[in-house]
Amino acid sequence: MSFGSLDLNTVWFALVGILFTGYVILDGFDLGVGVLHLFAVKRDEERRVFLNAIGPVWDGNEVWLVTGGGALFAAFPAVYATVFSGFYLAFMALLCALIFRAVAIEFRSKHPSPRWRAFWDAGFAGGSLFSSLLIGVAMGNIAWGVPLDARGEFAGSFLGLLNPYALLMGVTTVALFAMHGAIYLVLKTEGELEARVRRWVNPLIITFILCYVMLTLATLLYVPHITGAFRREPWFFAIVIPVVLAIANIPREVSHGREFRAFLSSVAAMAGLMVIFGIGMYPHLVYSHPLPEHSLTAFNAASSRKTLGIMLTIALLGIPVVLAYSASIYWIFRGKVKLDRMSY
Amino acid sequence: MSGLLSWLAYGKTDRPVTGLKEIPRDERPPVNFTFQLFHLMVIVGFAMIGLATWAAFALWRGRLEQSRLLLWLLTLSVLGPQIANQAGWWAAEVGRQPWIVYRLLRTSAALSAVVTAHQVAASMVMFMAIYLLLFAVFLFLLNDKIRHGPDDADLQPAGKHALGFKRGAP
Repeated sequence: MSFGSLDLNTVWFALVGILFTGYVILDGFDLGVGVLHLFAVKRDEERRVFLNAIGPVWDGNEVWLVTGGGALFAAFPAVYATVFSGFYLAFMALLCALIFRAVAIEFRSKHPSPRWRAFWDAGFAGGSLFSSLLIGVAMGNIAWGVPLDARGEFAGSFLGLLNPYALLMGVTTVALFAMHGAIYLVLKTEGELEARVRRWVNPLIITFILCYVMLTLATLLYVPHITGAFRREPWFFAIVIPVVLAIANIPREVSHGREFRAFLSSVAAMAGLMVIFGIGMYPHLVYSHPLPEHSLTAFNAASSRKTLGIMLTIALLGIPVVLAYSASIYWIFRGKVKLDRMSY
Repeated sequence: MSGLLSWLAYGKTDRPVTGLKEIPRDERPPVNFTFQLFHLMVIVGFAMIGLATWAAFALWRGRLEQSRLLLWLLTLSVLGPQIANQAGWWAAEVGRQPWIVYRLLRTSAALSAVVTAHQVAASMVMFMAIYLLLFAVFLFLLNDKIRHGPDDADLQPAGKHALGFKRGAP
Protein backbone atom coordinates (compact mmCIF):
# COMPACT_ATOMS: atom_id res chain seq x y z
CA MET A 1 0.00 0.00 0.00
CA SER A 2 1.27 3.49 -0.77
CA PHE A 3 0.52 6.14 1.80
CA GLY A 4 0.93 9.28 -0.33
CA SER A 5 2.38 12.17 1.59
CA LEU A 6 1.49 10.73 5.00
CA ASP A 7 4.21 11.42 7.60
CA LEU A 8 5.04 7.76 8.29
CA ASN A 9 7.73 8.64 10.84
CA THR A 10 5.19 10.40 13.03
CA VAL A 11 2.65 7.61 12.44
CA TRP A 12 5.21 5.04 13.67
CA PHE A 13 6.19 7.25 16.61
CA ALA A 14 2.51 7.15 17.59
CA LEU A 15 2.13 3.41 16.87
CA VAL A 16 5.16 2.48 18.99
CA GLY A 17 3.65 4.67 21.68
CA ILE A 18 0.28 2.91 21.33
CA LEU A 19 1.95 -0.51 21.65
CA PHE A 20 3.79 0.47 24.84
CA THR A 21 0.59 2.12 26.14
CA GLY A 22 -1.28 -1.14 25.52
CA TYR A 23 1.48 -2.92 27.38
CA VAL A 24 1.40 -0.74 30.51
CA ILE A 25 -2.41 -0.80 30.62
CA LEU A 26 -2.68 -4.58 30.20
CA ASP A 27 0.44 -5.94 31.88
CA GLY A 28 0.15 -3.06 34.37
CA PHE A 29 -2.77 -4.66 36.16
CA ASP A 30 -1.28 -8.15 36.28
CA LEU A 31 2.08 -6.80 37.50
CA GLY A 32 0.06 -4.81 40.05
CA VAL A 33 -1.70 -7.99 41.19
CA GLY A 34 1.78 -9.48 41.66
CA VAL A 35 2.88 -6.50 43.76
CA LEU A 36 -0.20 -7.02 45.98
CA HIS A 37 0.20 -10.83 46.09
CA LEU A 38 1.94 -11.01 49.47
CA PHE A 39 -0.77 -8.90 51.16
CA ALA A 40 -3.34 -11.71 50.88
CA VAL A 41 -4.34 -12.77 54.40
CA LYS A 42 -5.65 -16.32 53.98
CA ARG A 43 -2.52 -17.22 52.19
CA ASP A 44 -3.05 -20.17 49.96
CA GLU A 45 -6.67 -19.79 48.89
CA GLU A 46 -6.58 -16.03 48.36
CA ARG A 47 -3.30 -16.17 46.50
CA ARG A 48 -4.77 -18.81 44.23
CA VAL A 49 -7.67 -16.44 43.53
CA PHE A 50 -5.17 -13.69 42.64
CA LEU A 51 -3.22 -15.99 40.31
CA ASN A 52 -6.35 -17.25 38.61
CA ALA A 53 -7.64 -13.69 38.22
CA ILE A 54 -4.75 -12.98 35.85
CA GLY A 55 -4.09 -16.60 34.80
CA PRO A 56 -5.81 -16.58 31.39
CA VAL A 57 -4.55 -13.16 30.30
CA TRP A 58 -1.14 -12.22 31.73
CA ASP A 59 0.92 -13.90 29.01
CA GLY A 60 -1.15 -12.33 26.24
CA ASN A 61 -0.61 -8.97 27.94
CA GLU A 62 3.15 -9.43 27.90
CA VAL A 63 3.07 -9.99 24.16
CA TRP A 64 2.45 -6.23 23.85
CA LEU A 65 5.96 -5.62 25.24
CA VAL A 66 7.42 -8.03 22.68
CA THR A 67 5.43 -6.36 19.89
CA GLY A 68 6.51 -2.91 21.07
CA GLY A 69 10.15 -4.02 21.08
CA GLY A 70 9.70 -5.60 17.65
CA ALA A 71 8.10 -2.46 16.22
CA LEU A 72 10.94 -0.38 17.66
CA PHE A 73 13.47 -2.76 16.05
CA ALA A 74 11.88 -2.52 12.62
CA ALA A 75 10.75 1.12 12.58
CA PHE A 76 13.56 2.79 14.55
CA PRO A 77 16.53 0.38 14.49
CA ALA A 78 19.00 2.99 15.75
CA VAL A 79 16.84 3.53 18.83
CA TYR A 80 16.55 -0.20 19.43
CA ALA A 81 20.33 -0.63 19.14
CA THR A 82 21.11 2.28 21.47
CA VAL A 83 18.53 1.45 24.12
CA PHE A 84 19.02 -2.31 24.22
CA SER A 85 22.82 -1.96 24.28
CA GLY A 86 22.90 0.99 26.66
CA PHE A 87 20.38 -0.51 29.08
CA TYR A 88 21.87 -4.01 28.68
CA LEU A 89 22.32 -4.92 32.35
CA ALA A 90 19.07 -3.21 33.36
CA PHE A 91 17.13 -5.12 30.69
CA MET A 92 18.78 -8.40 31.72
CA ALA A 93 17.59 -7.72 35.28
CA LEU A 94 14.10 -6.96 33.88
CA LEU A 95 14.17 -10.20 31.90
CA CYS A 96 15.21 -12.15 35.00
CA ALA A 97 12.32 -10.60 36.98
CA LEU A 98 9.79 -11.31 34.20
CA ILE A 99 11.00 -14.92 33.86
CA PHE A 100 10.67 -15.52 37.61
CA ARG A 101 7.17 -14.17 37.86
CA ALA A 102 6.10 -16.13 34.79
CA VAL A 103 7.42 -19.52 35.91
CA ALA A 104 6.19 -18.87 39.47
CA ILE A 105 2.61 -18.67 38.18
CA GLU A 106 3.00 -22.03 36.46
CA PHE A 107 5.05 -23.89 39.09
CA ARG A 108 3.34 -22.74 42.30
CA SER A 109 0.29 -24.97 41.95
CA LYS A 110 2.22 -28.06 40.87
CA HIS A 111 3.19 -29.13 44.40
CA PRO A 112 1.28 -28.73 47.69
CA SER A 113 4.14 -28.18 50.18
CA PRO A 114 3.91 -24.80 51.98
CA ARG A 115 7.63 -24.09 51.51
CA TRP A 116 7.37 -24.77 47.78
CA ARG A 117 4.43 -22.38 47.51
CA ALA A 118 6.13 -19.74 49.68
CA PHE A 119 9.18 -19.82 47.39
CA TRP A 120 7.13 -19.25 44.23
CA ASP A 121 4.96 -16.65 46.01
CA ALA A 122 8.15 -14.70 46.72
CA GLY A 123 9.27 -15.19 43.11
CA PHE A 124 5.95 -13.97 41.73
CA ALA A 125 5.64 -10.94 44.03
CA GLY A 126 9.34 -10.03 43.89
CA GLY A 127 9.47 -10.48 40.13
CA SER A 128 6.36 -8.35 39.62
CA LEU A 129 7.57 -5.58 41.95
CA PHE A 130 11.02 -5.51 40.38
CA SER A 131 9.65 -5.58 36.80
CA SER A 132 7.31 -2.65 37.52
CA LEU A 133 10.11 -0.67 39.14
CA LEU A 134 12.54 -1.32 36.25
CA ILE A 135 9.95 -0.45 33.58
CA GLY A 136 9.40 2.86 35.39
CA VAL A 137 13.14 3.48 35.77
CA ALA A 138 13.63 2.85 32.04
CA MET A 139 10.85 5.32 31.18
CA GLY A 140 12.32 7.80 33.65
CA ASN A 141 15.67 7.64 31.88
CA ILE A 142 14.05 8.09 28.48
CA ALA A 143 12.24 11.19 29.83
CA TRP A 144 15.27 12.62 31.65
CA GLY A 145 17.62 11.87 28.77
CA VAL A 146 20.71 9.68 28.64
CA PRO A 147 24.23 10.60 27.51
CA LEU A 148 24.70 9.77 23.81
CA ASP A 149 27.83 10.21 21.71
CA ALA A 150 28.01 11.61 18.19
CA ARG A 151 27.08 8.22 16.67
CA GLY A 152 24.00 8.04 18.90
CA GLU A 153 25.54 5.32 21.08
CA PHE A 154 24.92 5.22 24.82
CA ALA A 155 27.84 6.89 26.63
CA GLY A 156 26.66 6.55 30.24
CA SER A 157 27.01 3.89 32.90
CA PHE A 158 24.67 1.39 34.57
CA LEU A 159 24.75 3.30 37.88
CA GLY A 160 23.98 6.52 36.02
CA LEU A 161 20.62 4.97 35.06
CA LEU A 162 19.70 4.84 38.75
CA ASN A 163 19.38 8.63 39.07
CA PRO A 164 16.79 10.15 41.46
CA TYR A 165 14.36 11.23 38.72
CA ALA A 166 14.32 7.76 37.13
CA LEU A 167 13.90 6.10 40.53
CA LEU A 168 10.99 8.43 41.32
CA MET A 169 9.39 7.41 38.01
CA GLY A 170 10.01 3.77 39.00
CA VAL A 171 8.26 4.17 42.37
CA THR A 172 5.39 6.07 40.69
CA THR A 173 5.01 3.20 38.20
CA VAL A 174 4.85 0.63 41.02
CA ALA A 175 2.14 2.73 42.75
CA LEU A 176 0.21 3.12 39.48
CA PHE A 177 0.35 -0.61 38.66
CA ALA A 178 -0.64 -1.55 42.24
CA MET A 179 -3.63 0.81 42.05
CA HIS A 180 -4.62 -0.54 38.63
CA GLY A 181 -4.16 -4.14 39.84
CA ALA A 182 -6.24 -3.58 42.99
CA ILE A 183 -9.16 -2.27 40.91
CA TYR A 184 -8.88 -5.31 38.64
CA LEU A 185 -8.92 -7.59 41.70
CA VAL A 186 -12.11 -5.94 42.98
CA LEU A 187 -13.64 -7.00 39.66
CA LYS A 188 -12.45 -10.58 39.98
CA THR A 189 -12.97 -11.37 43.70
CA GLU A 190 -16.04 -11.81 45.87
CA GLY A 191 -17.14 -11.91 49.52
CA GLU A 192 -14.70 -11.19 52.32
CA LEU A 193 -11.70 -10.99 49.99
CA GLU A 194 -13.47 -8.49 47.74
CA ALA A 195 -14.29 -6.30 50.76
CA ARG A 196 -10.62 -6.31 51.80
CA VAL A 197 -9.30 -5.61 48.30
CA ARG A 198 -11.83 -2.79 47.98
CA ARG A 199 -10.28 -1.13 51.05
CA TRP A 200 -6.84 -1.19 49.35
CA VAL A 201 -7.98 0.94 46.42
CA ASN A 202 -8.18 4.41 48.02
CA PRO A 203 -4.80 4.31 49.84
CA LEU A 204 -3.21 3.13 46.57
CA ILE A 205 -4.84 5.96 44.60
CA ILE A 206 -3.56 8.47 47.18
CA THR A 207 -0.06 6.95 47.08
CA PHE A 208 -0.05 7.15 43.30
CA ILE A 209 -1.29 10.76 43.27
CA LEU A 210 1.38 11.83 45.78
CA CYS A 211 4.09 10.16 43.68
CA TYR A 212 2.70 11.65 40.49
CA VAL A 213 2.57 15.18 41.94
CA MET A 214 6.21 14.89 43.02
CA LEU A 215 7.16 13.50 39.61
CA THR A 216 5.32 16.32 37.82
CA LEU A 217 7.02 18.96 39.98
CA ALA A 218 10.40 17.37 39.28
CA THR A 219 9.58 17.33 35.56
CA LEU A 220 8.51 20.99 35.55
CA LEU A 221 11.64 22.02 37.45
CA TYR A 222 14.35 19.85 35.94
CA VAL A 223 13.20 18.42 32.57
CA PRO A 224 12.46 21.48 30.42
CA HIS A 225 12.52 19.57 27.11
CA ILE A 226 9.47 17.52 28.20
CA THR A 227 7.50 20.61 29.19
CA GLY A 228 8.62 22.54 26.09
CA ALA A 229 5.78 21.29 23.89
CA PHE A 230 3.25 22.37 26.51
CA ARG A 231 4.77 25.84 26.83
CA ARG A 232 4.79 26.30 23.05
CA GLU A 233 1.23 25.00 22.61
CA PRO A 234 -0.61 25.71 25.86
CA TRP A 235 -3.81 24.07 24.58
CA PHE A 236 -2.00 20.70 25.00
CA PHE A 237 -2.71 21.22 28.71
CA ALA A 238 -6.32 20.30 27.90
CA ILE A 239 -5.25 16.64 27.88
CA VAL A 240 -4.29 16.93 31.56
CA ILE A 241 -7.90 17.73 32.54
CA PRO A 242 -9.50 14.41 31.45
CA VAL A 243 -6.61 12.52 33.06
CA VAL A 244 -7.21 14.23 36.41
CA LEU A 245 -10.96 13.65 36.07
CA ALA A 246 -10.42 9.98 35.20
CA ILE A 247 -8.25 9.44 38.30
CA ALA A 248 -10.75 11.33 40.50
CA ASN A 249 -13.55 9.21 39.07
CA ILE A 250 -11.99 5.92 40.28
CA PRO A 251 -12.87 6.20 44.02
CA ARG A 252 -16.34 7.50 43.09
CA GLU A 253 -17.12 4.46 40.92
CA VAL A 254 -15.64 2.03 43.48
CA SER A 255 -17.78 3.47 46.28
CA HIS A 256 -20.87 3.12 44.06
CA GLY A 257 -20.00 -0.50 43.39
CA ARG A 258 -19.34 0.08 39.69
CA GLU A 259 -15.97 -1.68 39.53
CA PHE A 260 -15.92 -2.10 35.80
CA ARG A 261 -16.32 1.63 35.24
CA ALA A 262 -13.62 2.23 37.87
CA PHE A 263 -11.32 -0.05 35.89
CA LEU A 264 -12.14 1.76 32.63
CA SER A 265 -11.34 5.07 34.37
CA SER A 266 -7.99 3.66 35.42
CA VAL A 267 -7.36 2.51 31.84
CA ALA A 268 -8.28 5.97 30.51
CA ALA A 269 -6.00 7.66 33.07
CA MET A 270 -3.05 5.49 32.07
CA ALA A 271 -3.68 6.09 28.37
CA GLY A 272 -3.82 9.83 29.07
CA LEU A 273 -0.57 9.75 31.03
CA MET A 274 1.12 8.01 28.09
CA VAL A 275 -0.28 10.61 25.65
CA ILE A 276 1.17 13.38 27.84
CA PHE A 277 4.50 11.53 27.87
CA GLY A 278 4.40 11.10 24.08
CA ILE A 279 3.57 14.76 23.42
CA GLY A 280 6.39 15.79 25.75
CA MET A 281 8.90 13.51 24.01
CA TYR A 282 7.96 14.11 20.35
CA PRO A 283 9.90 13.91 18.06
CA HIS A 284 12.59 12.48 20.36
CA LEU A 285 12.72 8.75 20.99
CA VAL A 286 15.92 8.93 23.01
CA TYR A 287 16.74 12.39 24.32
CA SER A 288 20.47 13.01 24.64
CA HIS A 289 21.43 14.69 27.87
CA PRO A 290 23.65 16.72 28.20
CA LEU A 291 24.22 17.06 24.40
CA PRO A 292 20.71 17.35 22.86
CA GLU A 293 22.09 17.55 19.30
CA HIS A 294 22.95 13.82 19.54
CA SER A 295 19.32 12.85 20.28
CA LEU A 296 17.62 10.07 18.34
CA THR A 297 14.34 11.19 16.80
CA ALA A 298 11.52 9.68 14.77
CA PHE A 299 13.32 11.11 11.72
CA ASN A 300 17.06 10.52 12.16
CA ALA A 301 16.67 7.02 13.64
CA ALA A 302 13.96 5.60 11.35
CA SER A 303 14.02 2.87 8.73
CA SER A 304 13.40 3.75 5.08
CA ARG A 305 10.01 5.08 4.02
CA LYS A 306 9.46 1.83 2.12
CA THR A 307 9.98 -0.24 5.28
CA LEU A 308 7.69 2.00 7.32
CA GLY A 309 5.01 1.72 4.61
CA ILE A 310 5.19 -2.09 4.46
CA MET A 311 5.05 -2.25 8.24
CA LEU A 312 2.03 0.06 8.37
CA THR A 313 0.20 -2.20 5.91
CA ILE A 314 0.97 -5.23 8.10
CA ALA A 315 -0.08 -3.32 11.22
CA LEU A 316 -3.40 -2.30 9.66
CA LEU A 317 -4.09 -5.95 8.79
CA GLY A 318 -2.94 -7.26 12.17
CA ILE A 319 -4.57 -4.81 14.57
CA PRO A 320 -8.19 -5.97 13.99
CA VAL A 321 -7.11 -9.59 14.60
CA VAL A 322 -5.32 -8.67 17.85
CA LEU A 323 -8.28 -6.62 19.08
CA ALA A 324 -10.69 -9.44 18.22
CA TYR A 325 -8.79 -12.21 20.02
CA SER A 326 -8.04 -9.99 23.03
CA ALA A 327 -11.70 -9.03 23.36
CA SER A 328 -12.84 -12.65 23.05
CA ILE A 329 -10.37 -13.87 25.73
CA TYR A 330 -11.50 -11.20 28.19
CA TRP A 331 -15.13 -12.01 27.37
CA ILE A 332 -14.68 -15.77 27.90
CA PHE A 333 -12.95 -15.26 31.25
CA ARG A 334 -15.20 -12.42 32.46
CA GLY A 335 -16.72 -12.40 35.97
CA LYS A 336 -15.52 -13.53 39.39
CA VAL A 337 -12.81 -16.16 39.81
CA LYS A 338 -14.09 -19.60 40.86
CA LEU A 339 -11.41 -22.01 42.04
CA ASP A 340 -11.62 -25.62 40.91
CA ARG A 341 -9.11 -28.41 40.59
CA MET A 342 -8.00 -27.29 37.15
CA SER A 343 -7.07 -23.83 38.49
CA TYR A 344 -3.55 -22.68 39.38
CA MET B 1 23.60 -40.60 -6.90
CA SER B 2 23.81 -37.98 -9.58
CA GLY B 3 21.37 -35.09 -9.23
CA LEU B 4 20.04 -36.14 -5.80
CA LEU B 5 21.81 -33.45 -3.76
CA SER B 6 20.74 -30.81 -6.28
CA TRP B 7 17.15 -32.04 -5.91
CA LEU B 8 17.42 -31.95 -2.10
CA ALA B 9 18.80 -28.42 -2.06
CA TYR B 10 16.83 -26.79 -4.89
CA GLY B 11 13.99 -29.19 -5.79
CA LYS B 12 15.48 -29.72 -9.30
CA THR B 13 17.93 -32.36 -10.44
CA ASP B 14 20.04 -30.20 -12.76
CA ARG B 15 21.22 -27.31 -10.57
CA PRO B 16 24.93 -27.09 -9.68
CA VAL B 17 25.61 -27.54 -5.96
CA THR B 18 28.35 -25.24 -4.73
CA GLY B 19 31.18 -27.18 -3.08
CA LEU B 20 32.81 -26.00 0.12
CA LYS B 21 36.11 -25.44 -1.70
CA GLU B 22 34.51 -22.76 -3.85
CA ILE B 23 33.70 -20.70 -0.78
CA PRO B 24 36.56 -18.48 0.41
CA ARG B 25 38.34 -19.86 3.46
CA ASP B 26 37.37 -16.91 5.66
CA GLU B 27 33.69 -17.41 4.86
CA ARG B 28 33.54 -21.07 5.92
CA PRO B 29 31.88 -22.14 9.15
CA PRO B 30 33.57 -24.64 11.54
CA VAL B 31 32.55 -27.53 9.30
CA ASN B 32 33.44 -30.55 11.42
CA PHE B 33 31.70 -29.23 14.54
CA THR B 34 28.53 -28.35 12.60
CA PHE B 35 28.58 -31.76 10.92
CA GLN B 36 28.89 -33.67 14.22
CA LEU B 37 26.05 -31.67 15.79
CA PHE B 38 23.88 -32.37 12.76
CA HIS B 39 24.74 -36.08 13.05
CA LEU B 40 23.82 -36.07 16.73
CA MET B 41 20.42 -34.55 15.89
CA VAL B 42 19.74 -37.13 13.16
CA ILE B 43 20.96 -40.06 15.30
CA VAL B 44 18.73 -39.06 18.23
CA GLY B 45 15.79 -38.62 15.87
CA PHE B 46 16.17 -42.08 14.30
CA ALA B 47 16.83 -43.62 17.74
CA MET B 48 13.49 -42.19 18.93
CA ILE B 49 11.73 -43.64 15.87
CA GLY B 50 13.43 -47.01 16.49
CA LEU B 51 12.54 -46.99 20.17
CA ALA B 52 8.92 -46.09 19.44
CA THR B 53 8.70 -48.91 16.86
CA TRP B 54 10.20 -51.39 19.33
CA ALA B 55 7.80 -50.28 22.07
CA ALA B 56 4.79 -50.40 19.71
CA PHE B 57 5.76 -53.91 18.67
CA ALA B 58 6.17 -54.98 22.33
CA LEU B 59 2.81 -53.43 23.19
CA TRP B 60 1.19 -55.31 20.30
CA ARG B 61 2.69 -58.58 21.58
CA GLY B 62 1.61 -57.73 25.15
CA ARG B 63 5.21 -57.65 26.39
CA LEU B 64 5.68 -53.91 26.90
CA GLU B 65 6.13 -54.14 30.66
CA GLN B 66 8.35 -57.22 30.67
CA SER B 67 11.63 -55.73 29.44
CA ARG B 68 13.39 -53.57 32.04
CA LEU B 69 15.81 -52.39 29.37
CA LEU B 70 13.01 -51.11 27.14
CA LEU B 71 11.27 -49.36 30.05
CA TRP B 72 14.51 -47.70 31.11
CA LEU B 73 15.20 -46.56 27.55
CA LEU B 74 11.67 -45.14 27.32
CA THR B 75 12.21 -43.28 30.59
CA LEU B 76 15.51 -41.80 29.38
CA SER B 77 13.98 -40.97 26.00
CA VAL B 78 12.27 -37.99 27.69
CA LEU B 79 15.59 -36.21 27.14
CA GLY B 80 15.85 -37.23 23.45
CA PRO B 81 13.85 -34.39 21.90
CA GLN B 82 15.63 -31.87 24.14
CA ILE B 83 19.04 -33.11 23.02
CA ALA B 84 18.01 -33.22 19.34
CA ASN B 85 16.53 -29.72 19.59
CA GLN B 86 19.63 -28.26 21.17
CA ALA B 87 21.99 -30.03 18.75
CA GLY B 88 19.93 -28.81 15.79
CA TRP B 89 19.90 -25.27 17.14
CA TRP B 90 23.67 -25.34 17.64
CA ALA B 91 24.17 -26.77 14.14
CA ALA B 92 22.13 -23.92 12.64
CA GLU B 93 23.80 -21.19 14.69
CA VAL B 94 27.38 -22.46 14.28
CA GLY B 95 26.78 -23.45 10.66
CA ARG B 96 25.77 -19.95 9.56
CA GLN B 97 28.98 -18.39 10.83
CA PRO B 98 30.77 -16.11 10.04
CA TRP B 99 27.53 -14.46 8.86
CA ILE B 100 24.77 -13.12 11.07
CA VAL B 101 22.86 -12.01 7.96
CA TYR B 102 24.03 -14.14 5.05
CA ARG B 103 26.40 -12.19 2.76
CA LEU B 104 25.22 -8.87 4.21
CA LEU B 105 26.57 -8.66 7.75
CA ARG B 106 29.34 -10.54 9.50
CA THR B 107 28.86 -11.52 13.13
CA SER B 108 32.05 -9.67 14.01
CA ALA B 109 30.60 -6.47 12.50
CA ALA B 110 27.24 -6.86 14.22
CA LEU B 111 28.50 -6.58 17.80
CA SER B 112 26.93 -3.91 19.99
CA ALA B 113 29.21 -0.93 20.24
CA VAL B 114 28.87 -0.37 23.97
CA VAL B 115 28.10 -3.77 25.50
CA THR B 116 31.29 -5.11 27.09
CA ALA B 117 32.45 -8.72 27.28
CA HIS B 118 31.94 -8.60 31.05
CA GLN B 119 28.29 -7.65 30.63
CA VAL B 120 27.73 -10.46 28.15
CA ALA B 121 29.46 -12.90 30.52
CA ALA B 122 27.30 -11.70 33.42
CA SER B 123 24.09 -12.20 31.42
CA MET B 124 25.21 -15.69 30.34
CA VAL B 125 25.91 -16.64 33.96
CA MET B 126 22.47 -15.30 34.87
CA PHE B 127 20.74 -17.32 32.16
CA MET B 128 22.70 -20.46 33.04
CA ALA B 129 21.73 -20.11 36.71
CA ILE B 130 18.06 -19.60 35.79
CA TYR B 131 18.01 -22.54 33.39
CA LEU B 132 19.81 -24.85 35.83
CA LEU B 133 17.26 -23.94 38.50
CA LEU B 134 14.38 -24.50 36.09
CA PHE B 135 15.90 -27.81 34.94
CA ALA B 136 16.18 -28.96 38.57
CA VAL B 137 12.56 -27.92 39.18
CA PHE B 138 11.51 -29.75 36.00
CA LEU B 139 13.25 -32.98 37.08
CA PHE B 140 11.77 -32.71 40.59
CA LEU B 141 8.22 -32.24 39.27
CA LEU B 142 8.61 -34.92 36.61
CA ASN B 143 9.85 -37.41 39.20
CA ASP B 144 7.05 -36.39 41.56
CA LYS B 145 4.46 -36.88 38.83
CA ILE B 146 5.85 -40.28 37.80
CA ARG B 147 5.99 -41.53 41.41
CA HIS B 148 2.48 -40.47 42.30
CA GLY B 149 0.80 -41.31 39.01
CA PRO B 150 -2.31 -39.49 37.84
CA ASP B 151 -5.09 -38.57 40.30
CA ASP B 152 -8.31 -40.54 39.93
CA ALA B 153 -10.05 -37.35 38.87
CA ASP B 154 -7.51 -36.85 36.07
CA LEU B 155 -8.58 -40.16 34.55
CA GLN B 156 -12.13 -38.89 33.99
CA PRO B 157 -12.75 -37.08 30.73
CA ALA B 158 -12.85 -33.44 31.77
CA GLY B 159 -14.95 -32.05 28.90
CA LYS B 160 -16.24 -28.52 29.30
CA HIS B 161 -14.69 -28.31 32.73
CA ALA B 162 -11.17 -28.52 31.36
CA LEU B 163 -11.74 -25.82 28.79
CA GLY B 164 -12.40 -23.31 31.55
CA PHE B 165 -15.93 -22.39 30.53
CA LYS B 166 -17.17 -22.82 34.09
CA ARG B 167 -14.59 -20.45 35.48
CA GLY B 168 -15.77 -17.71 33.18
CA ALA B 169 -19.49 -18.12 33.84
CA PRO B 170 -20.96 -15.07 35.58
